[in-house]
Amino acid sequence: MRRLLHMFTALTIALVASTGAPATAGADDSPTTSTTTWSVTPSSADAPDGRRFLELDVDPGDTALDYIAVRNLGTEATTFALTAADGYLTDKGKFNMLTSDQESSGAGTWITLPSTVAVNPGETAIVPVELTIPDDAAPGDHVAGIAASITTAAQAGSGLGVESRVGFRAIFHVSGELRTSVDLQSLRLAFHDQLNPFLPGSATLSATFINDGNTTISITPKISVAGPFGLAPREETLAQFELLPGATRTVKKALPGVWPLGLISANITTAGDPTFSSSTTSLAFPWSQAILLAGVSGVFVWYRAGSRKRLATLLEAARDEGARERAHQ
Amino acid sequence: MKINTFARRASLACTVGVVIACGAAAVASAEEFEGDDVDVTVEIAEVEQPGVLALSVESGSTALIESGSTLTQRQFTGTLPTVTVTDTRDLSEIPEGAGWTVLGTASAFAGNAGQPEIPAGNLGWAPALVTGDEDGYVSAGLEVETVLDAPSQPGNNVGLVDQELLFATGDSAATSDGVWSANAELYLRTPSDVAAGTYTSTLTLSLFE
Repeated sequence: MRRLLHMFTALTIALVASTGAPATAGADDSPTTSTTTWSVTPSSADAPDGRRFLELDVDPGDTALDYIAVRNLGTEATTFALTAADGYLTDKGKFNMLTSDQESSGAGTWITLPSTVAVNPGETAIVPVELTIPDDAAPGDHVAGIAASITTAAQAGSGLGVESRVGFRAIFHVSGELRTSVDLQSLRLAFHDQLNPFLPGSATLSATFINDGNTTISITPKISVAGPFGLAPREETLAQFELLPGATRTVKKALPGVWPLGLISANITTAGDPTFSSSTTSLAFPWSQAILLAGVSGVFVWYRAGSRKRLATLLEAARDEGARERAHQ
Repeated sequence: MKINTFARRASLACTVGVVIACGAAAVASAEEFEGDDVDVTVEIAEVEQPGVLALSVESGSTALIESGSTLTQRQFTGTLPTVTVTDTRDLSEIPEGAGWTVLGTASAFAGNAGQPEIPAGNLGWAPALVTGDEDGYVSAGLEVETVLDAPSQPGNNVGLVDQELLFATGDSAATSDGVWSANAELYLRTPSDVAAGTYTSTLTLSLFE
């Protein structure tokens, strides 16, 4: 009966708590958290125009006026900080722009916009953005980012402030002599033997590409690994990635199932434009197979030596026997 | 035994009660229009506003509290406030092959009294999806270990610089009309001889496509 009463009480309390107004529940313990929701897109002077990023063909010395729309989808009026900074691709190929504490030196400095904008809930603010291309801007692709952010300051103690921002890319194609080129900063091939001599080993290929042209390129590396005289070849195509001018990207590929045929060579090429090809070799000495062979030969030789010794002993015994028989006759 | 029967009877009673209440409400509203058929038409205007890719963050900062320290290493842990991405764009509005990502980058922890700063590489995190389906299009990022740790996955002991919290792989077109939230367990690890004091850093979360 007591257990029943407890269960009933627990159920009642749970019901009351869930149907109670959230405000009262919040007031008792931690302060209520509010959620801010916003989005930022390129815009015309009147309204968002459906572009997902800013892309312009410009000449050095040009100026242009464009707009961004900052939309407050939350329930409270919020003041957003507006920032523009140099853009780059992370080593996983995702776009990001420099953080507020880092200084831009490239396309991020070509964008001028107000430092803050206040937006009422449910409204969209259209903010003008001035684009000024320097007279000495190098030809080719320059990428920046534009974002609206809100910052929550760090608490006392070992605190982490959080700056949250949403934005889009701004890509400038500056006229002039365009060069599309890719090069390898480093190419390394390593072979890893297996303890089990009946299993193949594996190889690791590591290549660092650099875009030494001035346009954004898209690379699909293809690697092929083979033993001497092209024995046991294998080919792999790696995932495509983008490289901004001046950027580097390292790709590593593990290749299982490579037999140690003394020497292995790897060739890396990129399909499409720009094309590129390079190769490297690595020693693939069959250590475990050699040890096995040495072991087997050793046993064989020992056995042969042993049997020769036995044969000699037997012959000796037979000679003695023969000698004794002759002595007896 | 008795409790099971009681619970069963109680839930049955509740269900019957609710059904009766609904039925009564339906009958009551029906009686207002006895006999007459009323045509209801509504004009739904075309919504001109383009769909949005929006970021939502909770207010509330993150404190890192000491927990799990050993003799050689001190550890401070906390939780990142939940970050939500909403995508209401229709397929025609999404650039081909686009995919959005929420990236996190921390700045170095600066001391308040001239202590040597703790590099951002000493901060790691373990993202977790809070709402939304991890249906292969949207995933929470992988765990990131600090530079003081051995990697728990190949090469992941790099610290919190340009690391993914939440991302839509490949085509955003496959993920339109969705809401996804993620948070992360944060951990700051320092050698045990770190100078005492108040350190602060800023973690920048960026949503770009």
